[in-house]
Amino acid sequence: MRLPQTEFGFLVNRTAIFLDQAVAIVSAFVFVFFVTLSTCDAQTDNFSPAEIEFFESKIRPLLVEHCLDCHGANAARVRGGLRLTSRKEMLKGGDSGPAIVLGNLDESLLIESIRYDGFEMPPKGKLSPEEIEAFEKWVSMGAPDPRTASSAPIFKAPTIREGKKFWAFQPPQNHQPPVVANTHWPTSDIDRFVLAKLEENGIQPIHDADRQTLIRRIYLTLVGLPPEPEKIDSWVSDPRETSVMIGDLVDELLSHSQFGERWGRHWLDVARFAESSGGGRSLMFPHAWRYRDYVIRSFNEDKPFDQFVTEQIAGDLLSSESEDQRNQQLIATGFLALGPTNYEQQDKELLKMEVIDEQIDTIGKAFLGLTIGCARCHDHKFDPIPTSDYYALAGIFGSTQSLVNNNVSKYVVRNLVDSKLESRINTHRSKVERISGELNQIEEQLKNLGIQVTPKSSAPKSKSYPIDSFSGWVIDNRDANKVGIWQSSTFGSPFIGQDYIHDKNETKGIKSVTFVHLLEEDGVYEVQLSYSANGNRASNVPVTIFHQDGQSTTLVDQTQPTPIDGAFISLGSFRFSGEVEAKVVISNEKTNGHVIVDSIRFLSPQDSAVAIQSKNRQPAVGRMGQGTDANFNITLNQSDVEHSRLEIDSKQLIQRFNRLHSELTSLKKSPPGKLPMTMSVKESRSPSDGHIHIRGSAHHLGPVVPRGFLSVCCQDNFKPNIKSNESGRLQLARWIANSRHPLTARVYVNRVWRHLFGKGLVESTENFGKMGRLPTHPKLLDYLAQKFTQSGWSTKKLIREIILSRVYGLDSNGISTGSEIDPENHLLWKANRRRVDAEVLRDSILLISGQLDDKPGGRTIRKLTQYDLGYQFQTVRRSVYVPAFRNSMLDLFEVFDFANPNLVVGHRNSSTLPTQALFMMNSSFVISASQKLAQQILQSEDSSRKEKIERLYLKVIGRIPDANEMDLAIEFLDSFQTQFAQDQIENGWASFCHALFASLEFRFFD
Amino acid sequence: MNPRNNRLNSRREMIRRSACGFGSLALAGLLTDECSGRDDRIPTTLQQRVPMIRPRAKRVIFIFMQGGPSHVDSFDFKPELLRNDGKEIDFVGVRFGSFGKSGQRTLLKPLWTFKKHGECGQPVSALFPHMAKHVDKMCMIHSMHTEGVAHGPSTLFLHTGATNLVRPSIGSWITYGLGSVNQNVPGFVTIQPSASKGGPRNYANAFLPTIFQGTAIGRAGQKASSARLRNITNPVLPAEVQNHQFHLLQAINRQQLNRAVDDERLEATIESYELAYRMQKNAPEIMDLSSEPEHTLRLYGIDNPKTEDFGRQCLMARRLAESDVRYIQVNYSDESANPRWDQHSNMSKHADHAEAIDKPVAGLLEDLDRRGLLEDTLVWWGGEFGRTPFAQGKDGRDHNPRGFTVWLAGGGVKAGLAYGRTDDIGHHAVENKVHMHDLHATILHLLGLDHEKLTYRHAGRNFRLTDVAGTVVTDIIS
Repeated sequence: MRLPQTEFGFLVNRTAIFLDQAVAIVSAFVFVFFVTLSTCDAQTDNFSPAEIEFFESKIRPLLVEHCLDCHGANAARVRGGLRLTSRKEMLKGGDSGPAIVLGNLDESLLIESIRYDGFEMPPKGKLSPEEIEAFEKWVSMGAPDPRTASSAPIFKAPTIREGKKFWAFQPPQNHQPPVVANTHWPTSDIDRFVLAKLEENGIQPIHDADRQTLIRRIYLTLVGLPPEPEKIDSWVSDPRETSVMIGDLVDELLSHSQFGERWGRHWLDVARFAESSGGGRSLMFPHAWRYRDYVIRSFNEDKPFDQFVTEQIAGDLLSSESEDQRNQQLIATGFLALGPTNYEQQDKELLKMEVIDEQIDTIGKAFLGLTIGCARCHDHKFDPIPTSDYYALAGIFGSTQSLVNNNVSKYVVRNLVDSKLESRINTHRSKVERISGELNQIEEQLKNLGIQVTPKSSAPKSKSYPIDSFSGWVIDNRDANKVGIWQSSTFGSPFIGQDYIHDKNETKGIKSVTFVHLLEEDGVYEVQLSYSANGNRASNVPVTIFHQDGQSTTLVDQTQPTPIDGAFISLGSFRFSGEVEAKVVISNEKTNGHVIVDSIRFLSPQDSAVAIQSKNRQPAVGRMGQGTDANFNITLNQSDVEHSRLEIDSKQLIQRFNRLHSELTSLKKSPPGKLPMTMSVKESRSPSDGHIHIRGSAHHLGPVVPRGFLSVCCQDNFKPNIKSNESGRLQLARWIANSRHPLTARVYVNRVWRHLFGKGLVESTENFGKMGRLPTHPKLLDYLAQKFTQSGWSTKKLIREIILSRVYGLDSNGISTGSEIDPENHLLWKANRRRVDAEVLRDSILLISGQLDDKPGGRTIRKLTQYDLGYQFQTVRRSVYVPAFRNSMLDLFEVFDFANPNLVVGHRNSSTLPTQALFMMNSSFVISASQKLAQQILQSEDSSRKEKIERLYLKVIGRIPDANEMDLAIEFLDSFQTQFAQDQIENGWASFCHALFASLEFRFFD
Repeated sequence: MNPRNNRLNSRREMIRRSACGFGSLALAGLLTDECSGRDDRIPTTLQQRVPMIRPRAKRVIFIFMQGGPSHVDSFDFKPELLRNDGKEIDFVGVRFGSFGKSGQRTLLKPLWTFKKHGECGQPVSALFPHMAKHVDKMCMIHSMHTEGVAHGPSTLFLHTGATNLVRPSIGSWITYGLGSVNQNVPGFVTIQPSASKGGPRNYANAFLPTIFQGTAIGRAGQKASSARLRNITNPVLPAEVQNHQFHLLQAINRQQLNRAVDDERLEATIESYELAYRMQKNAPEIMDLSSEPEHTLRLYGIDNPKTEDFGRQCLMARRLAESDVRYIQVNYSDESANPRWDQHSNMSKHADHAEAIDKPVAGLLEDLDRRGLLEDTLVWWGGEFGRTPFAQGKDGRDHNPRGFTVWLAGGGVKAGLAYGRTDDIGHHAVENKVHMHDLHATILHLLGLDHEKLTYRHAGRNFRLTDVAGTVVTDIIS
């Protein structure tokens, strides 16, 4: 549902002037008010000479020696916004509030600080007790101080009103394409905007690019792969008009799934996408690939960009018409969760703030082209973003849950819906339930007949269970937080997952294992523990469960077997909240044997039903077996029953028992799977406005600010409509994804332009603020932005229109007056020669050497990968599917300026480094691809050497060699043979292929 | 045509005419970042630059003791701690779970005996008998304090001045500020870095131009004798065959260059191949220790299996220093969850680590001194934090970012000085406190860089290694 646009508070041109006047009136009033105030303030108290003398002899020397370097009038940088240069300044105070409060020693920050109670001042070392006493006495006296110095404000942040005049905060205007002198040149409105600027500056655009150059350019920019030689041949020889052909080619490539892989990757750069957290203790993001696939799919489906934005900020809050839509929307919010968070940070208040800051910063740069993060500690120095706006946004994300806290905290994961799978799970569960129930009955009947059934010890039993073979939530010891050294083992059985761990029966009281899990919903859950039982285990293992009603400790006897589902024992049922993580701690304190920890399971009431049923079927321990059945030992108590009758009844029962039991076993061996999960966020339980953090410190709270957006992009006095039970994320998303927003569409069309031309109309793609670059073609930018929103925010239409322009099809090689007037080509009198990026380099080499696996999508991190460091990247799939970690990157990516996954990147570095040259010369990747390419070329027996060389040139750099190049190639191949070995023909060719891969034209495109 | 174009054109002519390599051409201004929207005055090359202030050191060797060696057991002698062994003290928790809660902790005395050493009479414990012989060269800072409590944040803070935000490494800042003297080797090298606790971010350029990123030689956990620069040799082609191929490559490149109108980047790429080929010839030689005489190997403990690994790393550091690498980091690291010096239990394991590094570090100091390199090389030894004076469990110590010791030597610092003080038990720095930001500011200062002026504009504002903090500790400068 779309809300009417007026609810988003955008400045509408028509009313802007009127509003400006209103502001002027209001500010005039405010001005008078302050003048009155400051007059009062200027009245200075009169102090006695003795009091002044006290200041001069005791206080002034201390201020000079210890304070004024940082809090003086001439301090290079005034710290904390505080000046101690006069009584007035001290009463006014700095960012944390007044330095002195008259008549209240304990509330005077100055006194608190020198007592090292809160702040620690001076930082170099505490003053002596006598000196502190002197300050206390002085404040008690009313802070007598003859100094009258009043100083200029420390810096003047731009006001919202002034700020609104800046181009980027003005709504995009409707511009008619300008009239140009050379009416023959333009083929589109885009061309008219560009040509008008060129004509203004006396520059002639150069000639159009030839077809070979064009097809390579279009292929690399749209799908990130070079055209096949056959495609180039037919394209070059096609008799049709080039412009018609371009339209067809663009349509063809836009409909190819490789388009999404190429353009999705551009967005992943912006979304600082990664599959691990990096930093201190790098956590894996095993579900992050779903977000990657969501992005690729969105581009392939040409999802309207406004919808794409809304889903990423608030997809969890949108209604949906299908399961798939709901899932896609939930996956989209992974955008908020994927940041480079240092989950190990121990100060959890600070951690929460760091996550919020990262989210705000990313949203600011990605969607709005603003560096909002600057306003975390002080009003933005260059852009009209006051700290209060920053904390208005922080309130929205503070009301959003993004973390599950623990020693090493975690991101939030949520279930996706899959009703088919759910019904399979339900069917499976009810089958298990039914069979278990029946088994219990039979067991009971047999018992009445004096027969007891125990699984045969020799019967093959599963040594280990996969973690997803159980209902409920099973958390493996590998995901638990361990204190002390725990030994991994697989000796005892059964166990769940890879192993279980034990405390080596040593250092009792020191070791512990903590399991943490955030349950989806509030409710009562049964908690269960699995361990491999044995006689040498401790019989008194303390297990503490932290739940909503407090904590409960039970002692577990680990010499006893685990009856539930053959692996678990119950620790009881407890109330848990869906907001606070459930925690279970197993300690080895005062234990009398080995303490075993395998896994913990949480069961919802529905899940429990199944498990509890089977719990009743506890096998008796230590009974002797006599029966002949294949699976079970049957123990008969002959003294109690009549033998013959027993045989008939029991035989049938036992047969049935066996049949049911094997049915149950096979059911358990083929679990229906678990519901898929995704990284996401949640609305917090109690949304609220947040405090300003003074100088960005999470521990120095200032006033509360109501949740809201950036004032400079809103009408004056605009208040978003956020209900008390909402975070405001959805409102924020709709505010950003709005055609009236002055920034969103402009920032995005500029990104698209950047990828098509190598340079944005605004070069600083992440900064449209004062410190960013001005647009080279402001009217063109507005034209594109407006056309984009009017066309339903369609990326494909936008790309098509730009590629069909004449300016896109210019050559990059040529001389014009532009070489002199505009050597940097800001005005687009030619195309830019561009270095191919890391993915194009890699994917092209793989494709050309016949190795590329073009399978789309899916999970690509190898299963059971615990850490990103040392990951072996052995894959020949497209680069977008190479696992993207923060602590280790494919070496080719590292060397060739792949986007830094810690930053919002709309414009990658393009460096020229010797490490790149070393990679091209010596890496086994390029060497083996060259060998494969040589083999491939040599296989085409029917072609001459010359034809082979031509084909290689066409394959690798998209054109055939000229006569000199041909001579050089032939000369090399000949001399290689004569100089090194007659039989090394293949190596000579490989060497030649290698040189072509390393050559300039492969590493650049025109 | 403006002078800039003239310069380029003549240079271009040279490249075009040159038939076999361009060794004579300077690298100046060519290995550039294409990244537009940047100020032209910002250095994007490794070309040497003039320091802002008079430099006292030309290069840094940072010997990183990962995990946090205990200061109270090594360099910071606390008789009170010895006397009060086993007594309880109040402590306010700083970790998750105990954050802000007060509790009792039991003091644990230093486990090694201290003796005074050298003319300066600085106490050093029996952990470091070899380093102790060099106390007269060292400037101890006993009043260090830093940010973060866990390894990840503190290690990042040590390297980048930020616990969580993505910032350039100190080595990147320094090469950005000063460039590099030797264009045939990288300007910032880190020997066998760990991939954990911040990993590559500890030597990454973040938003600085890529050319200032640290180059890793090998990785933590492997034998030092097999640590190499990546892709430095061709695994397939013999040298003469590769030479032949290299000439083909550059000939193809020149033909392609001739088809194009002026483009600096194409020329820069051709030159990057030249440089890479020179590095390929030079770098392995610098890293090859086989030419070192017996007595040098012994000096670094390379003859002893226990000290061999770190000895090799330290000797490689000296060879890199001789080749004028600007910033050299030697890592005593591994890849386990608990870094090497991280003795939360069983403090006696400190002895093993001390043994592994003591002789090599002492050897490095002596070798640098003998060769006159210590004068303009600043050596920095230390971890991301120290350890608590009270026990964790029965025989371990927890992290202590509130007070710990690092030492500097050479490069313009006062030798034989002990600066600053922790409290009587070594828990908090109390006198002449030196924050990690201050140490960073001081190191930059010694190299001739003003930490407040060494800035880089990114995302609309100027960034510094020291953020908005840091004071140069002038008292320790000779």
